Amino acid sequence: MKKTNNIRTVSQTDIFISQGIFFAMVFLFFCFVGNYIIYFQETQFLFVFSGDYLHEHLLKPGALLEYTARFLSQFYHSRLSGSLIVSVILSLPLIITYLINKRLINGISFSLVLLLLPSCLLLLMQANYYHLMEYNLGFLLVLSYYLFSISSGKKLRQVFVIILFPLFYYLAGAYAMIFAVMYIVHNLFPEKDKQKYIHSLLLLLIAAVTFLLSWKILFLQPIEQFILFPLPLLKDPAYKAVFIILTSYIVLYPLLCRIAGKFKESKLNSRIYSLISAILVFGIIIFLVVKTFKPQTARVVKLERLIFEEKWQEAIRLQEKKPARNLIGEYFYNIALSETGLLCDRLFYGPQDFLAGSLVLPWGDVHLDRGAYFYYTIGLMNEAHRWAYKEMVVFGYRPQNIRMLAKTSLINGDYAMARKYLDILKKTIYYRKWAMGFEKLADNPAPYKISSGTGTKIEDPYKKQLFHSIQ
Amino acid sequence: MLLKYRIHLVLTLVISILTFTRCGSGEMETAVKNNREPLIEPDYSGVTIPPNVAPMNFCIREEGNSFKVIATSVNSGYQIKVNSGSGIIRFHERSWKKLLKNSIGDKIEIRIFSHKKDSEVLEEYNTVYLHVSEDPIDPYLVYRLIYPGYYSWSHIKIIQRSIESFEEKSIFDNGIMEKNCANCHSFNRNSADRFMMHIRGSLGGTYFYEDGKVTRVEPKIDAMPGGATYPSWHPGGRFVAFSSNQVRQSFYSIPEKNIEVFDLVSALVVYDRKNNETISVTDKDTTKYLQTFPSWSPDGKYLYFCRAHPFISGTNPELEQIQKTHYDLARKSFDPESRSFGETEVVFNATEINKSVSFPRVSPDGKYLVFTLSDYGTFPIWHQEADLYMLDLQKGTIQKMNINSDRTESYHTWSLNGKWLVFSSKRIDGRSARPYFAHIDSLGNQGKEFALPQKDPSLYSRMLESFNIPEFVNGQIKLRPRDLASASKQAAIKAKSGNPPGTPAVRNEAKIDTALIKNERPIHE
Repeated sequence: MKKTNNIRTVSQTDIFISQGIFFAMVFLFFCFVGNYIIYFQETQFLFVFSGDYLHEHLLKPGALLEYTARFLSQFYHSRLSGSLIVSVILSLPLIITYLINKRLINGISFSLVLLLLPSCLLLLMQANYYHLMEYNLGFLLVLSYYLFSISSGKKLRQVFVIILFPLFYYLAGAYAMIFAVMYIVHNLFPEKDKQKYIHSLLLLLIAAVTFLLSWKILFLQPIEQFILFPLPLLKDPAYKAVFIILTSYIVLYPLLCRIAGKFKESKLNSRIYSLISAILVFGIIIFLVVKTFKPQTARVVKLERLIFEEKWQEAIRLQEKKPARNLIGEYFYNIALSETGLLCDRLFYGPQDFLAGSLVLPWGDVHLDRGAYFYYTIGLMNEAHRWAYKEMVVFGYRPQNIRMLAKTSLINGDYAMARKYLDILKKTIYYRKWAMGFEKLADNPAPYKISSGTGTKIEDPYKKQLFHSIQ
Repeated sequence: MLLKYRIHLVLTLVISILTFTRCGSGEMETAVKNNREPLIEPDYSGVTIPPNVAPMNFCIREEGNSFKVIATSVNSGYQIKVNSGSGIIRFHERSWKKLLKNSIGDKIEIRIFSHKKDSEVLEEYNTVYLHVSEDPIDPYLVYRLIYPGYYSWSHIKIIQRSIESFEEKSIFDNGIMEKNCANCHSFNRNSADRFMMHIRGSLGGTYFYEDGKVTRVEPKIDAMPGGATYPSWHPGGRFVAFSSNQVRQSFYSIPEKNIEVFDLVSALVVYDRKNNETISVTDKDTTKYLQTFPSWSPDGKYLYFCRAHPFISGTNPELEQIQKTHYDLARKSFDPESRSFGETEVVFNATEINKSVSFPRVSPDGKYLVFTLSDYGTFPIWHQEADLYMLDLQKGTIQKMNINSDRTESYHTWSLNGKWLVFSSKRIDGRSARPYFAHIDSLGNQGKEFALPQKDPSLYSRMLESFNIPEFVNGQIKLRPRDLASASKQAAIKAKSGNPPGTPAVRNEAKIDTALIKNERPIHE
C-alpha cells in the first residue's frame, strides 16, 4: 500500500485482485450462463487453414483483424477453451490500461476505476450474441498502439507512431481512426512536447493519404468499408449506446487521465473511494449483463447445438422440460422427433404454437441457416442441399452448411463435390475428424443406410420425382 | 511371351540406369517402367496445345514421396526437368516458352517418375505427349467467377486472364458496385477495345466499352417481355442482337438433376448503337415461338437463333411441359442498311429427334457452326447430357464433337483465327464449369481438349466457383473495375423503339412480375 501525502492510494495488489475478479467473472459467465453466446458465434464462421482463406483476409484494411478473430473464435467450439479465450481477451485491456496509467497517472487511485471501464464496457457489449471477437481485438489494438505511442523514447516514438500508421490502418481498419483521434486528444492535453501540434498534423496528413491510397488505388472496396470496417455497427440501440460510450471513453482517455491527475492531492484520491467505485462499477456491469441475458435465446441455441450434434433425445428432453416457445425452438423439437421416429407419438408433448409453421420453415434469408434440416430429415436431399448452398453463398462457410453440403452430396452420389466440401472441413481443427470419417464413404461409395444416433444418418434419397418452382 | 517380357524389362532397366539420375540428388538410380499412364490432373495426356499457352502445370495423383518430370521437345531435344515432393509440377515460365518455341508443329514428350521412400527404384509411367499446334490462340480469356447455384450470389467478378501466362485482373468487381450482379459480357469480334456487359441491380444497365469510353445504356423498350440478354455483336459493330426472356427456375428431387431453368416468354431484338434504337425481330405472321440465343454469322448476313413451340402455360409449369419444349436451330437473313430481316429458315430441326439446341456459334471462316444439344429446354448448363455438336454449313452434316465428356459441355466461343474453341465443361466435379480449349483444323478435325492451365494446378479440385461465359479476347482490356464504378454514376441512356408501324407485338400474355427477390440474380449463366 502506498502513501502519498498521508493519503492511502490503491496498491498494485488491489489492481491485480480487481483484474483477477474480472477475469473469473467473465470466465464463469461464458462457461455457464452465457455459453450460448460463444457457441452461437462459433456456428457463424468456419476458420479454414488454407492460403485461399488467408488471401480473402488480405484484401481490405481491417480484414487481418477479422482473420485473427476468426482464428480465435473457432475455439468457441469448446466451452472451456472458448470461455478462456473470451476472458483473456476481455481482460487484456485491464493490463494495457494499467500500463498506460503507470505512464500517465502513476500513484492516482482513480487509476483503478479508469482501467476497469473499457473491459467492463466490452463485457457488456459481448453479452450481445452478435458482438464478435474482432470488435474486442479492435479496441485492444487501439489501446496497444496508444501504449506504444507513449512508451518508447520521445522523438523516436513519434516518428514510429506516424510512420507505422499506414500499417496500423491495414491491420486495424477503422479502429485506426479511433486511435488517430485519441492521439490528437493526447497531444492536446497531457503531452508537453513542443512539437505536439506538428505531430498531430503529420498523423492527420498520413491518415488522409493512407485512406485515399487505400480507397483509390490499393483495395477494391466501397468507401464505407474504409471508414467503418470492422466497427461493431449492430442495430440494437442499447448496444449502440454502449459502443458510443466506450469509443468516446477511449478517445478521451488521455484527457480523463489528465483530469484524474489533478486529484493527486485531493482526499478523493484514496484507496477506499477507489475500491467503492470499483465495486460499484462491477455491480452495475453485473446487473446490466444479467439484464441482457436472454433465457429463451439461450435455450434455442442450446437446442440448435444438440440438433447439430445429432443428440436427438437430449434435444427432445430439453424442449419438453424447458420449452423454448418460439418458432425455431419448436422447429428443432419437431426435427428431433422426426429423426427418432417420434413425431406422431410426441408431437404435443412440447409446445406447437406455430402449427404447421414449425414443421417446415419458409424459404428466405431469415431461416436460411436452419431450413435445410427439415428436408434432410424427410430425405429430400436436393432441397436440403439448395438451402445449405444458398446459406454458403450468402453468409460464407459455416460448419453447418459445409457439413450439410458434404452429406447431401454423398447421399446423391456426387462424390467429387463431397470431397471438396470434406477437404474444407479437413482444414479445420474441430471438424477434421468428422470429415475424415465421411471421406471414407466418398472413397468407398457403397450405398449406405440410415444409422440413427450414430451421426452418420444416410438414407436412400427420395426416389419419387418432385418438381417445384421458386416463388 | 515370358522371354520377351524379360528382355523388355532388362532393356528398360539398362536404359533407365544409363539415362536417369535420382530425383534431386544426382545419383544414378534404377527406373522401372510400369506400363501405364500416370494419373495427372488436369488430364493433359495427348492434348493439342497452342504455341503461346502458359505452362501446363499439373498434379501427379500417384503414390510416391518424390516425383520427377522431364519435358522434352521431340523436335529439338530441349529439356526441362522438374522435381517435386508433393506431386505438384510447376514449369518455369521462361523455360516453358522456350520449350514451346522448340516444339511448334511437333510434340512435347513428358516423362514422369515417382519414387517411394525406402525404395531403390524409380517408377516410370508411360510417356505423356502434348501436341503443339502451329495455330496461336487468342491471348486473353474473359470469364465470370460465380458460385454455380440457384438464385443467390454474393461476390461476383469478371476476370481477364492471360492464356499466355497466369496474369489475371478483374474488369468488374461487384464489391464496389453495390453488390450488383453482372452477366453476359460480350465482345465485338473478340476485341479488347469493344465490348459490353449487363449489370443488374441498383446500378443496372448495359455498359458499352468502346475505344476507352464507357456508356451506360438501357436497351429495353416496352415491346420487350423482359430485359435484354444473351448478346451477340454484329461484326460491323453497329448492331447488337439480344434475346429478351422471362426466366424461371424449378427444382428436381431426384439426385441426378438439380435445377431446370426455362423461359416463360422469349423474343429477339436488335439494338442499333448508332441510332440508340431497339428493333423487334419478328415473323410476319406469328409471334408464337420462343426465340433465344441470337448469334450473327461472321459476315453479318444471317442471324442464327434457337426457337421452340411453347408448351409452357402459366408461371408454375409441370415438368412434362418443359420436357416437351425442344428448340430448333433457325436463322434469318439480315440487311444492315434497311435493318430488315428475311423469313425464318430452320437450319436443324432438333424437335424431330427429341433434342434441343442452344448457343449456336459460327466459326469466323463461316464453315462450321457449333451448338450445344441437350434433351430438352433452354438451359443446358444444368443438363449432364448436354454435348457440343458441329454443323458443317457447306455440307449440312452434323457430328457430335469428340471433345465431349459424360458431364455437361456447354457455353463455347471461337478464337479470332477460328482454330480454337473454348467451352465450359463440368467434367471435373459435375457442378463447377471449367474452361477447356480444343483445336479445330480447317477440315473440322478436333484435337484433344485441355483445361485452362493454372499456376496452382490443384485449383480446380478445390475451387467451388464456376468459370462462367468464357470468351476469347484479342488483347488486354484496359478497363478497370473503378472505371465501371465511375460510369455507373451516369444516368442510363434509354433506347427508343425502332419498330416500324405495324410490327406484331411480342407475345407477352404470360408476362408476370419479374422483380427480383433480395439477393437473387437472373439466371443467365
